[in-house]
Amino acid sequence: MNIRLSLILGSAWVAWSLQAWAWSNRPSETDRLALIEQVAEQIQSDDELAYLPGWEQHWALQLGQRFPHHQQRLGVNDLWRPFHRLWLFESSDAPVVSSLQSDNVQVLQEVKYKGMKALLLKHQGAVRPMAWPSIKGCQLSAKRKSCSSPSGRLQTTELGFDGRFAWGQKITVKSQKMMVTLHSKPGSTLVGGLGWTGHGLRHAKGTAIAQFRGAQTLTRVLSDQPGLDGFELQTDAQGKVEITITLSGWTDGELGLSSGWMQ
Amino acid sequence: MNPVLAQHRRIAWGLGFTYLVLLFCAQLQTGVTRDEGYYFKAAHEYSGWFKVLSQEPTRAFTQAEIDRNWGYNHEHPVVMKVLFAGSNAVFHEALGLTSEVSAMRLPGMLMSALGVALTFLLGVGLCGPAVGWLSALFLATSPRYFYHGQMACFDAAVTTMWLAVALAWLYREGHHIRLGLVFGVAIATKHNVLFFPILLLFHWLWIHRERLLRGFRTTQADGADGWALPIIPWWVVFMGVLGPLVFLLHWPYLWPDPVGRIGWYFSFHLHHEHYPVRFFGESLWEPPFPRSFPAVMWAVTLSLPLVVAMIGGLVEAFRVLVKHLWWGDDPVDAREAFIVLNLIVPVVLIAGPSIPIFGGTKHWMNALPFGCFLAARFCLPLLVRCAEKNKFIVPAVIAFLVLPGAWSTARAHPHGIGAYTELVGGLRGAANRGFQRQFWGGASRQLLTKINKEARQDAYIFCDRTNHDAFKAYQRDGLLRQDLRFTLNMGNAHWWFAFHQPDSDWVLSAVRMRSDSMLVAVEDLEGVPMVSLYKRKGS
Repeated sequence: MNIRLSLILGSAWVAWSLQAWAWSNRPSETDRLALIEQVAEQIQSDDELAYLPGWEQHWALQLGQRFPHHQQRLGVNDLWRPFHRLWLFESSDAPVVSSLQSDNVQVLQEVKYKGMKALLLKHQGAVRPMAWPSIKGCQLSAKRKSCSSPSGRLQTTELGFDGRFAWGQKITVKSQKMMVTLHSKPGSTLVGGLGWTGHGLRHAKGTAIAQFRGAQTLTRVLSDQPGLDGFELQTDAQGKVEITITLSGWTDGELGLSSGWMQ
Repeated sequence: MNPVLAQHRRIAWGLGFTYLVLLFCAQLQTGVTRDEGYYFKAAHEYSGWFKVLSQEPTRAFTQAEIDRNWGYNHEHPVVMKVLFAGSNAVFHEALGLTSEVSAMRLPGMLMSALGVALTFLLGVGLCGPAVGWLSALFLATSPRYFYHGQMACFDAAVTTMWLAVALAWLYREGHHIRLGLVFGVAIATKHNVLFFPILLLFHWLWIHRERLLRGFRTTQADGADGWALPIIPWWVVFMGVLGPLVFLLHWPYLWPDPVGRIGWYFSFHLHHEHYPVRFFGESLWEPPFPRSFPAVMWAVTLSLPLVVAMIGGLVEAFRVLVKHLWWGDDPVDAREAFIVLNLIVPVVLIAGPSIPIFGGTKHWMNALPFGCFLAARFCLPLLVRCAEKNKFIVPAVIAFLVLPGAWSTARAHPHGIGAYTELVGGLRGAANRGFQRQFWGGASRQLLTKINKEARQDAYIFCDRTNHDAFKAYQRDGLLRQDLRFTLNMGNAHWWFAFHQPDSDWVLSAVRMRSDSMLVAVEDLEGVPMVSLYKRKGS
C-alpha cells in the first residue's frame, strides 16, 4: 500500500511541479522584444544574428522584423563557421554549443533578461564566415551557387539535418571518391563542420570516410547521425585544404559542408 | 460484472454531455486537418447518392450511380462519413445552427463524448463508480484524445466503438445479437476493429489453456483426457455473421463487387505507405521502426500520474494472471485477461517494426480506455482510504490526479496534435528532444486572419500541408477570403506556409532561401513553432 501510495501521489506531485515549472519558464513575445531592444543600439550593420534553440522560430521573426538586413544563422549546426561579431540570443533552455566554448571565441558582452540572454561573441583574428570550395577548377563564390564534375556536385544552399539547419554546401558524391578544395592564404585555418544531411543519411548505402589534408591530415568516418561534425585545420604551404570523400563501394552520397576561414 | 444502475447511466450521460460541450467550444479554434478535408469532400459526394435514392430509387442502385457517388475515399468504410454528411445536412444546411466545419465534426465529437461515458461504465461494471469516474476523467483529460475528439475523423470514433464492442462482449449474456451488431458497426467505423477477433482468439486460448495443454499429455496420465476442442460459444457465430453482414450492407460501394472491393480494401491497408515521423531527433521514413515507439509516445504524451498508475495497474493485472497460470486452478481470470489484452494488443500491433507509425498516437488510441481503467483501479485503494477518512476528500484526490492532464490539454490547445507532457518536459522539452508536433496541416487556421487582412486581391497561397479541400472548407465557412487562390506552385505564390515537420523541412528551406520572401508570422505554443507564414516582399 505504501509503495502504491508513494507512486500515485509522488507522480502527481512531480507532474504538478513540472507543469508549474514549465509554465513559469515559457518565453513571452514581450520579453523577447525587450531583450532585443536592450541590445538593439549596439548591433552594428555587419553583425550576424543567431538564436537558440534553433527551432524557436519566433526569434527569427522578431529579429527579422527589427533587423531585416542582418544575416541570421540557423542554429547549432550553423555555428561551426567562424564569425566577426555574432549576437546570440538564447532562451532559458538553449543548448550548450561546443563550438562556442573554444579559446578562439570571446564573449564581448552578455545581457540577461528574465531567463533569456543575449551574448555578443567574436572570433579572434581576421575571419571569413563562409569558405567557398571548388571542384575540378570550378570555384563557388557568393555569386556562383553550384559546380559540377563527373565525380560530384557542389551547391551552396540551406542544409537540412532532420529539423536542424545550416548554411553551407551540399556535396553530392556521384562516384566512389570525390575531392573538394578550399583555398585561402597560407597559414589560414579552415573551421567548420562536415556530415550527412538528413536526406543523405536516409539514402546512404554504406559508410563514408572524409580525409582533410592541409598542414596536417585528419581522417574521419562519418557518424551515423545527420548533422555536422566540427573540424579545424590549417592550410598547407600553398594555402589550401583538400577534403577527399570516399564512399565504401557505393555512389550518390549526399553530405553537407559548412565552413569559414580564420587567419 | 456489476449491474449498471439508472444513476450510473445518468452520470454517464452527464459526463458525455459535458465533454461534448467542451469539445464543441474547443473545436471552434482548431484547424481543419488534411484528412478532414478529404472526409468533407466524401461526405458531400455521398450525400448525392441519398438525393438520387430519394428521387429515383432504382437508379441509385445501379453500379454507375454507386461508383459515381461512393467511389471517392473508398479506402475507409462510411459510417462516420455518412454521419458527417447527415449532420451537415441537418445542423448546417437545414437549420443553419452551426458552420459547415462544426456540423461535420459533430458526429466525431459525439462519439468521443460517448467514449468517455462508456469508459465510466466500464469502470462501474468492473469495479464500481469511483473507478468509473477516475477512468473516464483520465481519458477525458488525455491531451491527444481531446484533440482527436474534435475531429471529423475516425480515430476517436473507433476508440469508442472498440470499447463498445468490449462492453458488449462483457455484457454478452442474453445479448448476442447486440454484440454482433455493435461489432458490425465498429468494423464499419474503421479497420482497427478487424483485429478484435484476434484479441478474442488470444483470450480464448488463455481461458482454455488448461484444457488445451492437458490435451498434449497422454490419456494414461492422471487427469489427462486427450484432445477435446472446447465448445464454440454462440456469440462467436453472431459476431462472425452479423459483423460482416453489417459491414457489407452499410457500404454501397461494395455492392457491385463485394469480393473484389473488400479485397482491395484489405490490400490497401496491408500495404499502406509510410509517412515520416520524427522521434528523438531522427526522421523515421521507412521500416524497420523502433518497437518502443508506441510505449515511448504514450509515456511522453499522457500525464505522469496516468502513466505511472497505468504501469502499476498492468503489473497488478499480470500478478493476478500469473497467480492462476498453472494447473489445478480454474481460470477465474477471464475478465482480467480480457482487459489486459485490450490494452496490449493495439500497442503491440503498432510496435511491429514494419507497421506504419505515422499519426502520432492515434492508431493505438483504442487501447487507451483500458489503460485508463487499469490506472484508475490501481488508484482505488488510495480512494478507499481517503473515503474512510472523509468522503469529500475523494473528489479532491481525483482532481489532483487528473488535473495535470487537463492542464497539458489546455496548454496544447488548439494544437493538441503536438501535445507533450511531463516526462519529456512538455512542449519545449519535446521540441528540444526532437519529437514531432505537426503532421495534419491544421495549424494554419490561426494565421488565416492575417492573410485575410493583408493579402492582396486574388493572391496565391502556398499552403504546404493544408490541402485544397481544407482550404475550400475554410472559404465555405467564411474563415478565408473567397478571392484567395490555392497553389501548389511555390514560384507563383504570394504567401507561403511552412509546417515544422519532417516532410516539410524542404519547404521551410526553400522559402527561406528565396530572396523575395519574408517571415511575417509564426503560430507557436510556448515558443514551439507549429507553422510559419512567409510573404512575398512587396506583394
